[in-house]
Amino acid sequence: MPVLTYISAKLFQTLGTFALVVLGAFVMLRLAPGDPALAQAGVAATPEQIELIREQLGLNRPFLVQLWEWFRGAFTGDFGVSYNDHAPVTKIVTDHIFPTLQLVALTTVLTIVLCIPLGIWTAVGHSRLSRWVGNTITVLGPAIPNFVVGILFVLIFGWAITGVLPHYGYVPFSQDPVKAFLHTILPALALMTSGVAIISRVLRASIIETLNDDFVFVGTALGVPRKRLVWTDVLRNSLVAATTVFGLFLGVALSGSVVLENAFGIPGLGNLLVSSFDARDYPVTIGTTLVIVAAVLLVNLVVDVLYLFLAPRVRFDLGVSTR
Amino acid sequence: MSQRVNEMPPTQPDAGMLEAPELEELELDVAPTPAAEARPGRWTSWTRFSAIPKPVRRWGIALGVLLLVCVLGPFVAPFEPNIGVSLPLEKPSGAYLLGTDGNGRDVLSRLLYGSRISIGIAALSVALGAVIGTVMGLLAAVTEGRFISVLLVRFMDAILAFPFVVLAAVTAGVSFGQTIGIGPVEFGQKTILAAVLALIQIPIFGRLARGTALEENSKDYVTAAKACGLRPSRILRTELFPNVLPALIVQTSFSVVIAISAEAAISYLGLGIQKPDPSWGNMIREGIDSIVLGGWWIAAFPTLMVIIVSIVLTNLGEAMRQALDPRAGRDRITALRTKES
Repeated sequence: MPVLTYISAKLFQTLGTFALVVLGAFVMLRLAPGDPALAQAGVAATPEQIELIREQLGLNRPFLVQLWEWFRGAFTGDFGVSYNDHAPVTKIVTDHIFPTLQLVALTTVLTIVLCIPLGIWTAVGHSRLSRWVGNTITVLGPAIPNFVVGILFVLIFGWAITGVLPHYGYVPFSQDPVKAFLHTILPALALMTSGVAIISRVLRASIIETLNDDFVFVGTALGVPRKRLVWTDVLRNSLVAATTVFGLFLGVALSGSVVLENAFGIPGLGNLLVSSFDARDYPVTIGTTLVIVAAVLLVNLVVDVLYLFLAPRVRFDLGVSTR
Repeated sequence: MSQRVNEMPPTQPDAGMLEAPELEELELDVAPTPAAEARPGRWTSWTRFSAIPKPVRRWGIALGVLLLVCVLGPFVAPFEPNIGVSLPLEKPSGAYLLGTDGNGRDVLSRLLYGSRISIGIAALSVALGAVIGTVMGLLAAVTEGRFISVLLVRFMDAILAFPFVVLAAVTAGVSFGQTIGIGPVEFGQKTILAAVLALIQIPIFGRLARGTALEENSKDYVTAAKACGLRPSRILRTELFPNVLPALIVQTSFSVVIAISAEAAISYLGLGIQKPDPSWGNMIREGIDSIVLGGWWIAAFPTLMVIIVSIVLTNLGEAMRQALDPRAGRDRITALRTKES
């Protein structure tokens, strides 16, 4: 199977899953209790007024018609308007995307910067410290939920040592890079804990395995310095498994940010999701959910494709040729 | 060959690591409990208990203590959980061991009641999700290659594509404060929340069951069973399922951690357990709101509980994998940990 066929098959699969998710989200939100028309009209509204609003919002049409209308709009990039202030959903979502992106981007950078040395150190190091760090990470890291780490940070920096780092609020990067960094560092650290633990653990395992390979033996015999051997050849050959886990982690990070944004007061997609839910502003909820899900699916797709180029063995197993 | 090993120190501990689990078994074989030898038959429950690998026993006891706290908690709680008993924001002291919250309610009592709610919901959701997921996974494995299998796998993928907090938040929001009556049985808010959280577990167990079953399906003993003329349903029941089970049992432990953190997260967001009932999640929420007033203890103790339970369950799962999952022997990292702990 040529690579292009493989990629398009994967793409097709992803689109199928996405369609299922869209349908699921739509059905679930229509089943939700609470009436958007009522929420908008207020308590004092007369039944006629509520009926009028329902008419305006198109809520009195059959379910399938609503779904079809929404789908037709979505294909042209129109995800409807917010029930609350009638602003286009596309605009509301894009307004909230940057805080989340900033958080996830910093998390990604920190994770990569930390994981690679950590994985190598815990795999190659012989000191008691490296072993202790390796074990502590494997036990504690995946166990503690991201948002609990975030709460701990809020407790520490909000009560115990106030004024060291800001634990609330958001500053856009374009406005003041230093301040933006300081405001994002705590949630990013909280978000990356489980990822760093799992990825460096996987990296350590594959480095230990790669060190047994013949090419390391040959390299050592040829007098290649050990450090260079580990940091270039061994590392490159060990990255495959870590890449997969990294892709999964990005998905988890995107969802973990929902709660962390709330705790750290970042006006991102997570906060938008929760607040739109409270207001029964379904078009916004659906739009936000779809953006998050699409991002997760995209990351998975990229990892699937990347896998082909990183691991010749997988390519062989799947019967994909690069020609 | 020995020179090669000498030149590459990292491989040395590696060789030792692989032997680690066997060492532990050896100990058990060499030194059976004296009591068991003296009176065969009488001490079976004790010998059985001592045959459980040490790490599993250790973490199992830790979990038992936690569960005991949950069951007995409401009986030993010093105060009513939902009624103010003192001035708000009393610091931890002799009278109020963990202090009181912004409404003057005793934090210890709320924590004890809340533990039961949080762990209860997590356990129920994992039980539900495990059963449904396993059935779906096994069904998908048996019908591999047919349309129904594709449908099941796609369905599980779709659930998995939802980031889990988003899924929990959306579904919890949908079922927000509703009660569902089926016949004479009324399902309350907590049961519905557990059902919502079970949704997260379905693909986890489903994929695990399917993957393991497919792997087992290609083994000789299944072929032998087929050759003997056993019906597929019989093979599934008596051959495949017992061999898929260990992996599922191990996953249960990790899944409860996921469920607890999911419940805490959505209760924190205000979509889960509703006030005034306590759960770890909404206690953390209330505590965070009173940090500016200096009340660190309100959020700190439930946070600590989530961390403790997560650590105990993760370690228990890891220990059970050592004991039950034959593939764990190949995982050098986990082997390393048994040796050093």
